[in-house]
Amino acid sequence: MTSVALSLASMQLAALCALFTALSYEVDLWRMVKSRRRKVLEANSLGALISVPWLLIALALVCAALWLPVSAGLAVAGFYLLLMGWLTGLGLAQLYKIISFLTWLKTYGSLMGRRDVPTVQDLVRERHSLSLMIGYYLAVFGGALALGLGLTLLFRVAAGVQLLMVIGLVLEFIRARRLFYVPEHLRVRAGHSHQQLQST
Amino acid sequence: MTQAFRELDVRPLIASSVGPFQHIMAATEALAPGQGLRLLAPFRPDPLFTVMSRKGFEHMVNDLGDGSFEVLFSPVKPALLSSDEVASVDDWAEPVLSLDLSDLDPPQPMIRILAELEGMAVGDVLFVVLAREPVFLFPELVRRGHQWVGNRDKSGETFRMLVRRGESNDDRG
Repeated sequence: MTSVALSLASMQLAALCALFTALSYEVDLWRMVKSRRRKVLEANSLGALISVPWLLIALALVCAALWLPVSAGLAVAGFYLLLMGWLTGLGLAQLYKIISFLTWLKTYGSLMGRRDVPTVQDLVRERHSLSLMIGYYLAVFGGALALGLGLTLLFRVAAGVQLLMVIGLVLEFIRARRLFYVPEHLRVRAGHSHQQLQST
Repeated sequence: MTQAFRELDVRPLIASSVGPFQHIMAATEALAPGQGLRLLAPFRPDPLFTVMSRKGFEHMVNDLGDGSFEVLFSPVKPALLSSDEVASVDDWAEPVLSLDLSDLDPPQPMIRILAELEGMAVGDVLFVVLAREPVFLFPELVRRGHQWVGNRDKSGETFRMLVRRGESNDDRG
C-alpha cells in the first residue's frame, strides 16, 4: 500500500510541475504575441495559437484526475486533448504555412524582381483553411467531452468529423503545392517549375 | 577599445586539491556579452585552450615568474557574414542606394531587394537594413551572381547588409 501511495504522490507532484511549467510557457507566449509589431495574425499563427490553451486544459484535467475523486475518463480526455488538440493542431497549423512558403520560394525564387510574382497568400485560401482548422478543434473538443462523459457514439461522430477536417486541410496543402489558387497569369509556364515541384 | 576582464584565481582551489574546471566553466557562462576572463593558474592550462576556443574565446598567456600563469581569454568578435567569394569590401563602391526595410513583413524585403538589384549596374552597391537575417535571400543572391556582406547591429535589433550587383549568371529568368 505504501508504495502505491508513494507512486500516486509522485505522479501528483509531476502533474503539478507540468501544469506550472505549461502555465509559465503560455504566459511567455502571450507576452510574445502581445509585443508583435504585426498585429494581424495569419491563419498559421491563429491556428497555432488556438492549439496552445489545450495544453493547459489537458494538464489541468490530468491533475484533476490525480487529485480529485473523479472518473478516470477525465485523464483520458486530458491525454486526448494533449495529443489531438495541442500537438496535432499545432502541427497542422504550421504545415499550412511551411508548405505554401517553401513552394512559393522554390517556384518563384528565381523570378523575383524580374517579373510579377504572386504573394505567398495567393497560394492558399486563408479563410477556407482557417475554417477547417476551427472545425478540427471543435471536433477535438467534442471528442474529449465524449471521452470525459463516456459517450461512445458522440466520440465516434467527433472522431469522424475530425478526420474529415484533416482530409480537407491535406487537400488544401496539395492545392498550395500545385499552385491551384494562383491567378492564371502568374502561374509559371509549364516545364519551368513543375519538374522542381515533382523532384522535391 | 580596452577589453574588460572578470578575474578568476584558481590557485587556492588547486592548492586545496579542488578541480578548477567547473569553476572556470561557471565563470565563463556568467560573463557578460563581450567580457573576457582573466584566469590565474599555478601552471599553464593547455587543455583548457581547446575548450575555450570552442566556446568562442581566444587566449593570451603571460608567465608571472613565480611559477604561476595569467591567461587572458577574450571573446572573438562575431564574424561578419558574407557570401563565399567576398575577400574584402574595401574596394567596393559607396552604396548607390540605401533602404530601410525593417518595417516590411517577410518575404517583402527579399522581393524588394532582388527587384532593386535588377535595375542597378554591375558593381553598384546596395545598403539595406532588415528586421531579421534574410536566410532565404542569401542563396538566391549567390545564384544570381551577386555578392553580399552583413551583420547584426550592436543592439541586435536589425541586420545590415551590403549587396554588390554582379553579372547575372542565372538564365532561368
